[in-house]
Amino acid sequence: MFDDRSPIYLQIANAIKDDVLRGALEEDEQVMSTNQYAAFYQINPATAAKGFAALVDEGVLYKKRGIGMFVSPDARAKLRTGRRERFFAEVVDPMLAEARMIGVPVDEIVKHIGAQK
Amino acid sequence: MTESRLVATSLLWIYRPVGLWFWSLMIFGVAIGVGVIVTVTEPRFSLWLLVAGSAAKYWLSVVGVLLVSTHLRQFVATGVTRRAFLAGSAVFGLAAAWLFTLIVTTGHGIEQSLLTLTRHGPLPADYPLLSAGSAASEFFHVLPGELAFLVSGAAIAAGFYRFGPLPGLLLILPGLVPALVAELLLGRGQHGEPLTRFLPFGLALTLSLLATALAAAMYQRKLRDVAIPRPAGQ
Amino acid sequence: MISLRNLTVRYGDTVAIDDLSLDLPADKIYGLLGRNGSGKTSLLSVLASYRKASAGSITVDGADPFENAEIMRQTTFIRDCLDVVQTGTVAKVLDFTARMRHGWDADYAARLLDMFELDPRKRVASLSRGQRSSLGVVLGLAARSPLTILDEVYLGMDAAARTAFYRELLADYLDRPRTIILSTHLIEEVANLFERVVIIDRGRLVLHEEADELKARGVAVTGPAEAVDAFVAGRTVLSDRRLGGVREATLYGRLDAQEARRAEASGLALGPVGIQDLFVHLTSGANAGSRPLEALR
Repeated sequence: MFDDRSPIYLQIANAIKDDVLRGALEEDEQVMSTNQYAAFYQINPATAAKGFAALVDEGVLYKKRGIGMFVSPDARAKLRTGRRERFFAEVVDPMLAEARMIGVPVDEIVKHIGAQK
Repeated sequence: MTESRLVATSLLWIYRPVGLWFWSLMIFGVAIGVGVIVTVTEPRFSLWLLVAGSAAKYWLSVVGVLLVSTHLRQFVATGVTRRAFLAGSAVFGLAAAWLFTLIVTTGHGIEQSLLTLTRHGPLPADYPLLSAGSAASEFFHVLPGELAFLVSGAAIAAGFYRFGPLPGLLLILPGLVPALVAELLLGRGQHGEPLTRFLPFGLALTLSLLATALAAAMYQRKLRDVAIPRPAGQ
Repeated sequence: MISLRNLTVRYGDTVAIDDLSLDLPADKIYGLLGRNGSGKTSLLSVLASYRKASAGSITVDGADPFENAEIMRQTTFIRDCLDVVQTGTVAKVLDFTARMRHGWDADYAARLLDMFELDPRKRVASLSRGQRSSLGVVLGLAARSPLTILDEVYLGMDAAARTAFYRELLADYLDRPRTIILSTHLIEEVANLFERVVIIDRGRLVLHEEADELKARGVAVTGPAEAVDAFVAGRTVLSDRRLGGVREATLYGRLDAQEARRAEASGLALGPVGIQDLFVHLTSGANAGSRPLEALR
């Protein structure tokens, strides 16, 4: 379930962010508790809590005392903006670097993208 | 219930089934033995006192060894302090010795009664007689031996447990003292009768109990803060 | 809270634990890692009051646990040699523990026996190695002690039984948080359950770290030898492998995003290093006992 590439709590946070972006988690919807998360993925609850804390810091989740963690009302918008800002630097540029390395001309890439629209 | 009382009752609980087995076999064996003897000859001795009397002592000495080699570890593993175990096992030891002495003495009485009832005429003169009057003195003649053997077993095992094989061997000698003193001063004659040697009974009793108490104190001191290593071979 | 200060444990001339200081806050799952002979079992024995320290101090919630009835009562130490009555049945062992342990949950114990497929009527002496370990797990979990120490309890258990054990351990911990110290050699299997990792080597503390932090500590840098040489200069290198012109170096220390990009730009590939690999690197060969690592505690 989790790989070694990054700390598990970050992987959890990213998985929740993806769920929010995809719509699998709605705004103001309650998220599983840290204990439920821990039991489901067989990890220490402190790790799950760390992931949740990171998301609270970023404003993706908020806590309702005595009840649990909920998705922030503006979470999706916030995440989209953030990911959009980093889209070109983190996704497109590496793709272009790879294309350069293996000799795929940019025109072919543009043609391919055009066909996908 | 205090910890040490819990230890004592648990030890009794552990040994009840095996103790019952031991005495059942003993009674069965001696009954058959006596039955065979009376058909062949006169009962000039008390088979019960000779056999059961000795077996009881050796059995208790084995229990003494087991207290150290097995039970200490088990009880500490359940969260009980060594002090509580030592106190509880001391109470258990006293109770066991008392109980065994009672069984030995009562058994003697039963053997005697059965022999009297099933024979014609009086018992041979050599047969050690038990009367209402001598019951108490016989009891207190047997008890020190039971206690001494139990404590000797425990003290010897404690020497090995704490100090290892070589020092343990050396410590066998002081560990044996209670058993030796009891056997010497308060032993048993050929016919099974209680025999007080070298010293008058009161003094012998005191000396034996003293030797036993000293060895018991030695045993306690060795184990009071002993480490609980992995048992050998595991 | 468990506090060790300058703890030393000696067996005659051998020093098993050497001047070890450590603080373990309560109610966490700790992974205690160490090679054979590292002093792990001595450390756990002292924690469980099975042995007295030769020097230094150990306190559990402020008091010395040795011969302390209150603390010993709240501690369960299960080790591979199973300190139980060998002559009786499994049921008798559980009955005995039920008599002696105040917090014992007999129903839970029965459920666990079932889960591990242990027949209570079976004699302890006739149990297989794996079954003995399962019994150890039952004793360790059903006691529900505030301090539960499990020393390599998985020996002989097959993968299915081990999975069941980890699952049960986590479930019960989630239900009733307590201090659990797991000593294990099968690190990768159970690393996700640890909140903190303690590594011991040759009687000394190597590190005491949050498991998540520790996971991020290792980076494997692979690429053309010269590029790797340039990149790893000045960093802590745990190990090294070469094949032809390619070098793979395992670094100890985080790389931030900038450094990672720099590495990739130089044609280097970065890979993760699991806790088990990190542990092996930290406790073997020339690196063992190297002092710079202590500073990272």
